[in-house]
Amino acid sequence: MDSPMQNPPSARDADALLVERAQSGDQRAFELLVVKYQRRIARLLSRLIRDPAEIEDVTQEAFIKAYRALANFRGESAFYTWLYRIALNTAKNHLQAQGRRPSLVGDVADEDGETLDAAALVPDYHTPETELANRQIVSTVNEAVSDLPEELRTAITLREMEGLSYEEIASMMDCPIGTVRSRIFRAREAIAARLRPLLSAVGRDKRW
Amino acid sequence: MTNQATTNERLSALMDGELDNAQAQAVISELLQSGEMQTAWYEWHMQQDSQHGHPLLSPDFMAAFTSRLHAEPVVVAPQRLRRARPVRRLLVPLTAAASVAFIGVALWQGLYRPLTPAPAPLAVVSEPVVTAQVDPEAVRAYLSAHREAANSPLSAAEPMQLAFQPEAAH
Repeated sequence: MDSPMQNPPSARDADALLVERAQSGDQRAFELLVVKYQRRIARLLSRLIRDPAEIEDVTQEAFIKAYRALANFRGESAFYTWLYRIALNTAKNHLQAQGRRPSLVGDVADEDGETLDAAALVPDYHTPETELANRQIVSTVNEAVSDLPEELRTAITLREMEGLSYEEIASMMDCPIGTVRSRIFRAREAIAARLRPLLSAVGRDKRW
Repeated sequence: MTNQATTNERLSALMDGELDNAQAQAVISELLQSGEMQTAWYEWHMQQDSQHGHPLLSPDFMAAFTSRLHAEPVVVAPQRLRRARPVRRLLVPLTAAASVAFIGVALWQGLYRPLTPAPAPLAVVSEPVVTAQVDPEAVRAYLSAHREAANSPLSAAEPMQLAFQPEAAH
């Protein structure tokens, strides 16, 4: 199982495949994309809209608009780039319809949403209840990562925080790619096991 | 490792873009059918978002969204373009090359023809043109014989009109 492997010759990202399935009529596939991007889009919109309930409404509206336009998405850009533009336009239209002028709070410089400044790490648009739940989840994830065995912690950190490929991680950790894959999976499982009781109590979405 | 753990390990690799196309397609198919895998998908993305500072939404966000989504007409995009693309990719350069080649040949012919010596104009022949001398009776006899040989339903004896009026033999 831990035999050395090269990077997949034609690695396909999950987004493209889920988009294809959604375009073929599978709404569940689109829901999985929403599960993946809901928080990033809400974070993006929180730069334009301050009210927490309004942010969620506009986030939902953006995803619905994306779904309606999905037939026209041809994969010429990444799905998130396309979604990002729809979300921004939805927010601007929403504000204009209410006679408000869109004005950015902080930086929304990068379409991939990864260049938000450090201050953005502190939630700034939540109700007291969701903010508390959010802080508990962040703290639980951080503790769970800290408590991982070193090889799992290194693998998941290089993957999630540094964005390295399995091949790069394998090279850095001097182990086969299959081992990296297994370590990252085990790390995710261990963190999820710590999160589950908390999610049941405060934060798990009722749909899931 | 259990089957589910093996499957979830592949799901984890899919999230990281580390599966080839066939494997990724298979895992996506399983994901769309398996509640357990969908739960893992939800939890792992929450972990990722938490590590990247993308905070939670309210607990009923997805339930509300799903109910709105189900009220929408189901999207079915024509799959044609995606499948046709490789053919188009091949055809476009081929047709372009053919066009360029055609224009090149046309230009070459147009530009370089004068360089080849043009044939001298034909001399005017003062000798009278000899026209064919056709005997209508001979033609009719030939056509009757042809009908018989070809088992034509028309009687060999049936009179026929010639479509031309051969000149009478001088």
